[in-house]
Amino acid sequence: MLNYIRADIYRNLNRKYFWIYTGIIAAMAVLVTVLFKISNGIPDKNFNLVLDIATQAFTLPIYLVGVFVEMATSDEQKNQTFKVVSFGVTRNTIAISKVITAVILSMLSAFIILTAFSISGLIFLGGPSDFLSEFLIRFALASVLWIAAISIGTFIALVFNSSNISAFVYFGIFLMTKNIIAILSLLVWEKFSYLNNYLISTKLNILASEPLTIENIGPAILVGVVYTVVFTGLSMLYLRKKEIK
Amino acid sequence: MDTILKTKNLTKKYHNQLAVNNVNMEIKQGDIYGLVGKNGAGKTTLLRMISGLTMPSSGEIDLFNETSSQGLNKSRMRTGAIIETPSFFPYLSAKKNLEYYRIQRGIAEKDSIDYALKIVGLHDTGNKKFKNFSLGMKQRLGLALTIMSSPDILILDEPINGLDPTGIVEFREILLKLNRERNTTILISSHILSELSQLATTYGFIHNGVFLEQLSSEELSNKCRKALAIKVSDTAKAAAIIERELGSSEYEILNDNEIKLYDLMNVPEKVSKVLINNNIMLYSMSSEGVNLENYFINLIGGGHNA
Repeated sequence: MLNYIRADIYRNLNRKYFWIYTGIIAAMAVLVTVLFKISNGIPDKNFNLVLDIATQAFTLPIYLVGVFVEMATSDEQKNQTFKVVSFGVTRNTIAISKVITAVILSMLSAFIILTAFSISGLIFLGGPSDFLSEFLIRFALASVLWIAAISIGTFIALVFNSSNISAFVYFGIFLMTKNIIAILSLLVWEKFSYLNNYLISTKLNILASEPLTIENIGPAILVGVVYTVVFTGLSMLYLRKKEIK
Repeated sequence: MDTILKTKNLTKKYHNQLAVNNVNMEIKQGDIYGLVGKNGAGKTTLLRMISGLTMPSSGEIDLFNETSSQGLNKSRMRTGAIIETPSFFPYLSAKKNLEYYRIQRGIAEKDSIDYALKIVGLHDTGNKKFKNFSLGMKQRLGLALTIMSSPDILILDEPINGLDPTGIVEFREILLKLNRERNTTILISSHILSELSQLATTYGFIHNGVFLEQLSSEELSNKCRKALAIKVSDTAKAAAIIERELGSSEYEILNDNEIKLYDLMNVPEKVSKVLINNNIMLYSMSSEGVNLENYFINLIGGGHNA
């Protein structure tokens, strides 16, 4: 499995796509700090404020990691390179490795983006920031939920051969689920609204804005782990019988 | 020779359609096994099952004496396969594509890439990306991938499709070299029978998912051998006359009234005259002898099936 993951990382790091994507987001992160610096409308400009805004945008990486799922899994579907099973790579190895590869690529990309963001923040807005360590803790906790999103994305990317369809379904699920639950609880049964408590986006919002207590952290981590285990398991089950084209 | 691949009642059903029906085949080490069948006969499905790309509906695959799912995965590490089209990443060069697979398959020798590229003649493609390769180059890179790990068996599905005549000759030479020098067993499917006949040491014929026959090249040569097929009233007497008066022992008595005579092909009138003069009733005499294509067409029941 380690070889399979190493090969996937090698492939993606030798691809412009990964670097361009990471570069664009890093540039946007730097741009945010620059805009803060030059903006006249914000009275108390400092790096803490930027970090606070970044924390409020914790649901955004759900959509950003979709691209890493595309790099790790959909790209292989498109190029029909799952045929490596003919060389003895097990289907379970593929299913698990795809999640791990997307996680590693996301972490690497996040590291580059955060480094660019932090350095530019310190340069343009001054520092050090007393909120930075808390931001990093919240970020690390939220990573569990982003990994869960990657697991869901990987399952979807394995089910649909077309990367366009899988992207559409993935984004659709995260954009629409809350609305669907709202409609169901309004029209069918009000207790459907409890499902909101188990959504990744809900838990991310809690990790972004609520105090870091066991009551808030525990369920969020649990939801992340359960989604990851369930969807990785589903990927393994699905791949077990899949016709590899 | 050891048997390295054996299938037992291997069957694949898609919905209610039988793509491969109870196939029993056996490949021995060092064989070049030509799988013959027209398009849609079930060749690719059979190779896909052997390669693990699709699961059999029933039956068993025995590869290097492994039959369990886990054992087969282990055995497949000793194989190299190109099924349908070679799969590579379009944005990587030949070398980087092979490096990807080298890492993935845990092949320690880095020079295995240069070696494989040199064998298939792609060592000078530099940074040219796979998407810019011609079909022939893509097929050759596929072969490079399969031989990179020095496999014990190569599984090749229609590998010469899309190759130009020079490419076909080169491809054949590479396969023969691998078989000769490394004793690599090769399972190759094709509907270009003239090409297979220059490679294969064993043939398997498949039609409509049914495995019809397995023959060695010697057996096939004998079956395809040119002969005079003679139908007579008394084969024992006719055989004795052929030996005594025509001096030939190159014949085969097929049944009570049929003989195949493998020489004297140029003088059928002499043969008939001698038989008639010796009071043998001659019912018919015809010239027989087929090539691989005709043999296959006859086997599947005539031209309308081909």
